[in-house]
Amino acid sequence: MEQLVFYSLGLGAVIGALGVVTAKNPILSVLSLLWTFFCLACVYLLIGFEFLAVAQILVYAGAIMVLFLFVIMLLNLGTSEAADFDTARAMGRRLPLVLLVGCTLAALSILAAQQVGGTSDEARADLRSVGSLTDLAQVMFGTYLLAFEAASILLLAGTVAVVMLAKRERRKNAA
Amino acid sequence: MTVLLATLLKVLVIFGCLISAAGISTLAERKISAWIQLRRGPNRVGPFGLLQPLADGIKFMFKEEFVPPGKSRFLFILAPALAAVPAMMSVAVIPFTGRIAEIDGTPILGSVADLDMGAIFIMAVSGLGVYGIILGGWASNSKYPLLGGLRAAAQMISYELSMILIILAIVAMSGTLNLREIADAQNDHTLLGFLPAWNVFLQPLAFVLFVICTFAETNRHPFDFAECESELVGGFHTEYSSMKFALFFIGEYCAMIVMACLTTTLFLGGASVPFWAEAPWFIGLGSFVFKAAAFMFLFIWVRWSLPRFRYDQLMALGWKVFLPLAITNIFITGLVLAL
Amino acid sequence: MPTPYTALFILLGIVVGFVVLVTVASNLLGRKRQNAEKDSPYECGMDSESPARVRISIHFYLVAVLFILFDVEALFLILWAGSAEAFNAAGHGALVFAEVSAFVAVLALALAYVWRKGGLEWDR
Repeated sequence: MEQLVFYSLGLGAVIGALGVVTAKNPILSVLSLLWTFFCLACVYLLIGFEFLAVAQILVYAGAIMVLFLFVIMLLNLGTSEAADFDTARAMGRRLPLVLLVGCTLAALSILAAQQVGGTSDEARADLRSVGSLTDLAQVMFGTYLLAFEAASILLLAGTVAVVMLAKRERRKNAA
Repeated sequence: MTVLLATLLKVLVIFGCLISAAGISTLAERKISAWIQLRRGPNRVGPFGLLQPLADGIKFMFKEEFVPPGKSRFLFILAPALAAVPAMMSVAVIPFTGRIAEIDGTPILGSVADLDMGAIFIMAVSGLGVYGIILGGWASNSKYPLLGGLRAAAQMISYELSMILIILAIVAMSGTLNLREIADAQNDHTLLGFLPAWNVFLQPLAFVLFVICTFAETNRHPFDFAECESELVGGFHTEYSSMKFALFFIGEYCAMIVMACLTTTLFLGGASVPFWAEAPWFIGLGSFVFKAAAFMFLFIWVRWSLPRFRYDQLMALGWKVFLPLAITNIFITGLVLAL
Repeated sequence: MPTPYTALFILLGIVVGFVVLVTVASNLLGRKRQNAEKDSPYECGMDSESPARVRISIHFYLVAVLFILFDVEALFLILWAGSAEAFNAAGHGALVFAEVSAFVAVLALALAYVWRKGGLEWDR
């Protein structure tokens, strides 16, 4: 049962990802990506990572995708610009390349899965134990304290960058 | 198997109650506004106009649909669904009452799903409602809806931030993200010997901020820039008709109901009855509904009493007042907890 | 064995079913009599002068980015808020609180910077 749910979610995520690159309307791409994020969040739930699932919905689906929508509307990317370029057909023409990249990625992820112990029950129990909020907090505020504090600096840098961007735009508008 | 059936029944009942409550709220909105303005309000359909929401629903079904021609037809049809589904889903973690029964050792609780991440789940899911509004505005291929949708989106995300930070202060105090446990934590002792230990008394600043945030988050007066009748005609749903318009409407009222329930849970002890710790579950449910209904009344009362803000005032309030205050609140809470 | 998520997905099924049902039903039941006037976008009786999809203000972009930045901050704070009790019980609550305070202080600095630079003024 769990296997069945997992594979259907995986399939859903892949279909969503294909939708992102093949949709002609950029807004449909955003919606496909949302669907992919939803499937991924369900996968996280399935392996017991509640926090990660909620974080996925809260930050990726709830915040970053809203920014994408705003940017699309800001640039006024209609369907017309994208109409000349048919991604699906372009991908079809470069089928060998697409297949090569796809197979490489699949091989890499299988290798990575084997590195961490694959899908054995042991590995899954291991994963579940880190899933709890308190454990994650312990690691975050202990072992990875430096990275945690560095993240705040990164966010500060992001803030400065976005203000500079928005300000430059405003000066151009005034001129 | 019995547990599964009981769960199914419970979910169906909660969903039915949510939809009915949304319908009743629309009637209450019209009745109370009439009362405030010394009118009679709907009184033709059924006794005292009580069947009005039903009549409205049936009417919506038979109304002509409008879909703007062009390439965004699919998005236009999808948008109301994207607005309604998150609003209805976020009710899932609200603990309406305590334990109802126990079947084969599995307790049947008073919420759809008793999630350990409930407090964040509700913010994450209700935050998704913003897509329906942006897409509805964009797909309408009309100027007023686009402006209304964008404004509503920017407003919702701004206030969602303050809301999450306020909830986190409560979470830090209760030591859990589970909404049922947050509600229970308010009922295990009393303050000064007579006050129930509700968070409204422990975190009055957070309570006031949170209630105002719920108004902005649900696009209600005095922050209803999504609709803003006098400037934007009808805002993001100007071009919508028939059941698609109704879905936006139901979503909006469901979001209000969920926010009223969330405020009750976080600040008013949820389903508890003061001085009666052992109250049976249906008394608790009654207590919860009473408290939530009081907030619904507040939503309506404010709408018909206050004038609308200006949009820049709203954004300034969110970023320059609410966000700093929410951060200060969580800081002070943390300080008190750590010392 | 139903977990809480079973009920959650049952609700999702019911909600999606309801939404699809009413959308389709109103499409089938409602009458259809289209004409060009009805299809034109509503603009208080005037004919539309320009395309509806105007380019939007840069402010929306700024707000969205700021929202992401502070959302990530909130995400880290969830970790702290959810486990503050455990840390206090273990006796290093004050230390963890100091760490989190430093994190929030930097973000508060970011907010102050945007404020100072006028990024929060809507009309400028």
